[in-house]
Amino acid sequence: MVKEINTEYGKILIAEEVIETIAGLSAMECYGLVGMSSKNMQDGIADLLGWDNLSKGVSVEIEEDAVNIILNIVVEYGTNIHEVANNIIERVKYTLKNRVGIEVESIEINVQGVRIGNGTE
Amino acid sequence: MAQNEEIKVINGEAFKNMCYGALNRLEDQQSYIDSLNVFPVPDGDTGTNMLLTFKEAVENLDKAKSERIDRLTQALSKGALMGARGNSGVILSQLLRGFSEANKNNRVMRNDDLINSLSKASKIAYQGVLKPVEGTILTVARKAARRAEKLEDEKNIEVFLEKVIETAHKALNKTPDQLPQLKEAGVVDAGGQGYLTILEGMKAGLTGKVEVREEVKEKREIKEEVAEELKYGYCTQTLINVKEQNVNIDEIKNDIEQFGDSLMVVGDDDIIKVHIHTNHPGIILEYALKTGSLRDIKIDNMRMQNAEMRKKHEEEQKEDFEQLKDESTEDYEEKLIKSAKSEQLDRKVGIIAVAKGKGIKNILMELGVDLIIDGGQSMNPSINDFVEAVEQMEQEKVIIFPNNKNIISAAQQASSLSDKEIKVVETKAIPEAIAALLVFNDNKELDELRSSMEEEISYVKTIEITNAVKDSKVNGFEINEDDVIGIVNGDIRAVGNSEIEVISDLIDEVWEDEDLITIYYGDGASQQDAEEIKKKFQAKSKEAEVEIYKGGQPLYPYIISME
Repeated sequence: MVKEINTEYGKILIAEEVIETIAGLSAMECYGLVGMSSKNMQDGIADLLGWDNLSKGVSVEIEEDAVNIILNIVVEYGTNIHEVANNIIERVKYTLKNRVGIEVESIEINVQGVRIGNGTE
Repeated sequence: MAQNEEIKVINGEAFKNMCYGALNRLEDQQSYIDSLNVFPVPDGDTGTNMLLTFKEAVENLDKAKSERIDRLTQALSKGALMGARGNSGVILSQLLRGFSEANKNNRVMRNDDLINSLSKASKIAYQGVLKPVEGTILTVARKAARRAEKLEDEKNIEVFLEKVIETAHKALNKTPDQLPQLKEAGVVDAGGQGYLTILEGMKAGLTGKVEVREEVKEKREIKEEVAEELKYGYCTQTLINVKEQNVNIDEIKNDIEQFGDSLMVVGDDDIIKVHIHTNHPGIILEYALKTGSLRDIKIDNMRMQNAEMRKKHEEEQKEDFEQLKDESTEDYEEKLIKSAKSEQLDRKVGIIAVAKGKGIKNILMELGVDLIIDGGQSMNPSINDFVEAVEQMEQEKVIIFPNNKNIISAAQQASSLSDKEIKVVETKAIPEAIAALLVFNDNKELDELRSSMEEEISYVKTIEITNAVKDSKVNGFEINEDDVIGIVNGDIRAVGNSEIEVISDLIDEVWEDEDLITIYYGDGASQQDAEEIKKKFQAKSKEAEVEIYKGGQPLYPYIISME
């Protein structure tokens, strides 16, 4: 599916992939998130994904006008996970609204893993 | 210079005082920090989030029944973790975790522990993010840590902190160059300011100069009006031809840094350059004279510079405005239009409205709108457009009419960014703004004014006629592309093939013996058609007064208000 926005002069069609990438990138700028985890994961191993396939951790569902996003993330140990997730939701919502002009209906965060940083003894 | 007893060791009690000092200082600066918040999400809550996080940390600190630094920093860190709120709160909690990890097994804290704490704080904070954005609290924390690492020999903790704070301040002032969002809004990073505030508060708490609290409040009043840097009014610079050998530059720094900020002392054995922002240029020069003869003395009144800049800015705006006035009325389509009416400038409350269409803009201006932002359906002004418009207003109190439900949130976000008192009257269509303007009263409080306006709006019925741009199904209506849609107060209530047909359907449906009907016809509609519509209304009621205006709005051939 693509997201349709109608304007005075014509339609704008935004592919799912675009929303995935933007949602992924803006989430990655959030404090506390240290990685995305593959959405196709079946065996329960949260693999840290690199930059190239960051949108793998994001799935976007578009139905009619509603856009729903699911983010599979890995967080840093020692952060308040609940708050980090909240911040990500807020950030992604804001970015999509302002950069793309899309109102997101819901954002679901799956915390798939915790990374223990090397500065911690 | 008279020195208090040097503080070389921080014990449990001193550390607690540092935390209380930081908390006090954060409380004082909360709303100032809030006002800086434009990144990552401009919701103006950074100060509040940091304060709440730190408050919970300090509450937890109070519970720790120990005087050992390791227990105390641990309690602080744990409290911050539990209480973390918002992005800045989570970062703060990580910074404090760094503090705690650097002080494992420490009873007290000395110079090297403090260096460790600051660098560990920065290190751990950086770990928590995949893609660190420079120009944020992280940058400020990192630069402060780098400076601290170079201060191994500075055993006097008061001086140590002072130097770290100086660096943090400089780093903070550079954040607008690193992050375009900050530059655009003309602010420094809110989280960075929060960290600086905490460091400053810690130093104040440590040295026991608790009067900071009142002092800061006064300073903040000034800050809100002028720029933050203008705590000190004179930029004073001089070159000193050193007469004796072995002049210690650090000694000069130490001696004069109490008189101001932005201090720079550089030089060699022969010549030293001193630069400081101070309120007492005389004292600085007298002091410098002791070291040697002076040359290239330069003293600038920065407050005047600032005033001059502001004056220049105003004059430029005035010129723009004169130009606008000279150009033909066609240029009303310019993005921003300013009103010439001088009596409006005397008002205490300024009014901004979003509108499109020459006729409609003229009507709004006649009714007292000071400034119109070009926009409407499918052309939403940005938050920045609102912020700029608000900044241009002479008045400190401003009312905004968004005139479209999609624009309301941008207007509200902008209002939370500004220092001015702003109320957004949530108008969803032009006629609502027109009705609201009729009850405008300059002497009322904004809140009161808004509620009376909103009451007035509730009596207005707005009909908007437009064309469908795609096939869809809304409110049980099967809509095809190019169908005429009739919207009443934002809801689609009729669909048809011709405008006249849709309007007569709507009149039948929503007529409630209104006595004042106003028809604004826009692009794609003519005076004759409007006269036809007028007849439809007159058929409903002989007494109803029907007025017709050329609105010139795009997309909506007709906007009709009924009240």
